[in-house]
Amino acid sequence: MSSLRAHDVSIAFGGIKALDGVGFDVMPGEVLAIIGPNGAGKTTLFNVVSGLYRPTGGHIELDGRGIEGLPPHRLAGMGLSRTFQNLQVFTEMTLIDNVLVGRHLRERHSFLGDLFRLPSVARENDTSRKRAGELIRRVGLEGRESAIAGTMPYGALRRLEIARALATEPQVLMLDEPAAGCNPFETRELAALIRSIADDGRAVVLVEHDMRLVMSISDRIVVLDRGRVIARGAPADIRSNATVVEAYLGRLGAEEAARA
Amino acid sequence: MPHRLSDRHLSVLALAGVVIALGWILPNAYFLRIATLVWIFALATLGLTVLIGQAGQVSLGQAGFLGVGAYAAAILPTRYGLPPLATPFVGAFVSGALAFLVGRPILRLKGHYLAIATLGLGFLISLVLTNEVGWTGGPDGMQVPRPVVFGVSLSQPSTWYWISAASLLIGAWLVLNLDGTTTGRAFRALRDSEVGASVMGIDVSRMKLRAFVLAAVYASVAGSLLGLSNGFVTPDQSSFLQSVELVTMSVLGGAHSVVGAILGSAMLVLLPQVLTVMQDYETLVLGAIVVVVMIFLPSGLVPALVDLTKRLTR
Amino acid sequence: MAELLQYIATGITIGSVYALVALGFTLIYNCSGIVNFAQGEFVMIGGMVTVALTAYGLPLEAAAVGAVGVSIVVGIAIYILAVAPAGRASPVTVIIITIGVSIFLRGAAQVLFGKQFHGVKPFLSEQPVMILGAAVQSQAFLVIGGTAAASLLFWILLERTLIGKALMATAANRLAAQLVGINLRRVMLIAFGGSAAIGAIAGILVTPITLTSYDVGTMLALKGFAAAMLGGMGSPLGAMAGGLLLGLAEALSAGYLSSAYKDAIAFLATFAVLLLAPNGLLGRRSVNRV
Ligand SMILES: Nc1ncnc2c1ncn2[C@@H]1O[C@H](COP(=O)(O)OP(=O)(O)OP(=O)(O)O)[C@@H](O)[C@H]1O
Ligand SMILES: [Mg+2]
Repeated sequence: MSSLRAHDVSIAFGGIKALDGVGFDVMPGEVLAIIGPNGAGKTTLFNVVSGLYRPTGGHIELDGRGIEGLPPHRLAGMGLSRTFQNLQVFTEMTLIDNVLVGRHLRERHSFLGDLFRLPSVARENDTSRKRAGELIRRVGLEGRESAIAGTMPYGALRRLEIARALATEPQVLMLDEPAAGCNPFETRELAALIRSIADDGRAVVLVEHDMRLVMSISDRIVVLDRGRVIARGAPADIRSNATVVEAYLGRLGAEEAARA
Repeated sequence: MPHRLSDRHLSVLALAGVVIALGWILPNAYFLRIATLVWIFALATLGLTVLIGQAGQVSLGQAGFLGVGAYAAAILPTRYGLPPLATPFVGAFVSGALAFLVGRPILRLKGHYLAIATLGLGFLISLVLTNEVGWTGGPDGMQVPRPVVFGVSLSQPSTWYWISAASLLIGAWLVLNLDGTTTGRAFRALRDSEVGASVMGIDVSRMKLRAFVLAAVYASVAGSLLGLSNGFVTPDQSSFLQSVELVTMSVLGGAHSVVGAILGSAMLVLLPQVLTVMQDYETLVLGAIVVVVMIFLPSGLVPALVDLTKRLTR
Repeated sequence: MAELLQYIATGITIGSVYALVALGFTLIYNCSGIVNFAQGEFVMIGGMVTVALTAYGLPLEAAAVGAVGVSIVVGIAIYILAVAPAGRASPVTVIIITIGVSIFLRGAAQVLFGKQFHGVKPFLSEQPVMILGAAVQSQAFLVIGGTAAASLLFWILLERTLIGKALMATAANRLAAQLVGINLRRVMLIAFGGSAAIGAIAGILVTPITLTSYDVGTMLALKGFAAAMLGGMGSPLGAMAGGLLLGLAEALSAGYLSSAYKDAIAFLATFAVLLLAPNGLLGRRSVNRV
């Protein structure tokens, strides 16, 4: 059974079609990569699926239930979480508190209970802290739990967002360029982390420009260009697909060659 | 984490120590009245500590709720025969309900738009209090009946000192409690990134509404205490300038911090008292002081002091 | 009919003042992102200084020029002494600084001019003009005409001069403007000075009708702020429209509904518009891009 399925999704900004009939699906335990040139609509697709934008057309299903138009916090409750290309970290909070926010729906939060600090609050806090500590270790940020997020480097914050998203215990995790700003060593660790998240039985949707990372851990790939799907298939097929090389990989290769 | 628990309780105990010591030391009724005012305004400001400092939502109409509380203390006993000591609770309920009703639409607005909307709300309340002369006595205000307990009328300054101090302690304890709970974290999360918070499952508009209602209840209780302890109320207590004063108290002390709320209130209550010797120059000097303090301590007194002690102890 | 016309005339007159205050807000807001709560004080200064200078025997024209000059100096001083030193402080902090400035100016005016109301004689004649049965003060035409002239001047300044281009570029993108060599400090000085001049002009023109006192600034700042929001923060055209609408709403509700609640109705109308159009009537739609 498919965890997340998008069918014929479209959205326009001021007449410009940023997404035009895009569809994909992803199963538990699978890594689906969505790639494409800058401005192809990858982030927009994430924004539509996660409830930040309302699509002008199409259908999105999570575990067989239609979710288009639901607000993000409802989707979080249904098991969908994500990270952001331009970080949405809680900059004035500590790393551990950032991850604890992800436990929001896992805690029985009653406003009055919190205000009067009923004994259950302390008990729940202990459980949550233990879980959050594990997640911080899992993304390799142990020892920095009480650092203020705003003072941490970019790469660390990307991993913090992953830990925070995992704290919601999602069925589907969507990662928007998690390797941006990482060095090769960090990228390798990240690859292992993403793979292990999928191996836990979660569905992972990955947007990334680092092709080595994409090719090494994805089960399937969807290629977007100017709001349309131009190819889909296994990594090997995509690598040799003429249209994709033309629209994206060729250009990317040339850029990397120029930079080297 | 046990040390976190004791942190909170230590703060409340330290505050209680200060309150009790002052209650003993202060020599006469004049000083007790001033201190009472400090505790009352600190209570109102604590609501803003949650709303502005933690949840990041500005309100320039907070005095409106102060006015609702104050007039609840005046109107309910004279018209409906309610015991005066019950009025802070009824007033708080009315303010909370009002905040709940208008909060949903208002809190959809952001930044400056939220500022103008809350400003307008406070302004409307103050207009009603000024214009409904038959109910409120109009611009001159009205008398607040003194509570009578066991045949004794509560009018001693020291009585009101202790009542307002106890209210402040309870208020501070509740706000400190929020720190490190699901609710407290959700407030701070939505201040830093609403999008991030909503993706974490936080119902952003609901959380904002809670902070708004809490702040309204705090202001309302403070208003009732103000009316009860003064023995009269005027519409000035709900004016725009009063709202500005409340926000200034919060930011001056340090918008995030409970101690900041108390220090900021103390400064703005004491300054005019000190400045009365300057007579005509009072307003001018008050304005200048606000500007200078905000320029040199933009995040308020308490964060500046914390920085200083960190630097000294390093 | 005559009654309606009367109210409309009043509404447009008072709305013109709101429009000018809102325009001043917009000028500073666009260049700096700062909401200047001291904006209403410029109106007070314009009126007060004119009153004082004519009392010293200066002719009205000279007094008016002097009032605009004083106001500009105050505006520039606000930037140099209070706003610039605050640097990158949070918006709430800056709002409180400008509120502090407005309290300071009110205090200064109280010391210099006392607490009583001041007025000047209408510039043209004391006789109202009769239009279709409505008596319109001659000064009202000056207010409306002056507002139109001031906003036209403002528009020409923005659209047709190099300084205006620099202002607009800064409003559109501050960082980019700095990168192409626009002197940010000079732009700010012009914005604060210009904004002060606009406020003072409103004050000079309207004082014969409404009188002035040390504390008129607060209410005007509130109304101007509401007008700017109503029109859409950041849009000069919106500021004008918002000001006029607010003035009309106020005058009509004072006439037909309740004079005690005219301010309430004006604010409620603003509320209602903001709820339907959260960015104001002519404001830029801002989508939160993530
Ligand atoms: N809120 C918005 N308003 C207007 N246009 C938008 C908005 N969001 C995205 N767009 C436009 O939609 C198109 C797709 O942008 P998107 O950010 O989804 O690209 P992307 O594939 O994520 O690119 P990149 O690899 O650079 O991150 C772009 O042309 C962009 O300008
Ligand atoms: Mg993107």
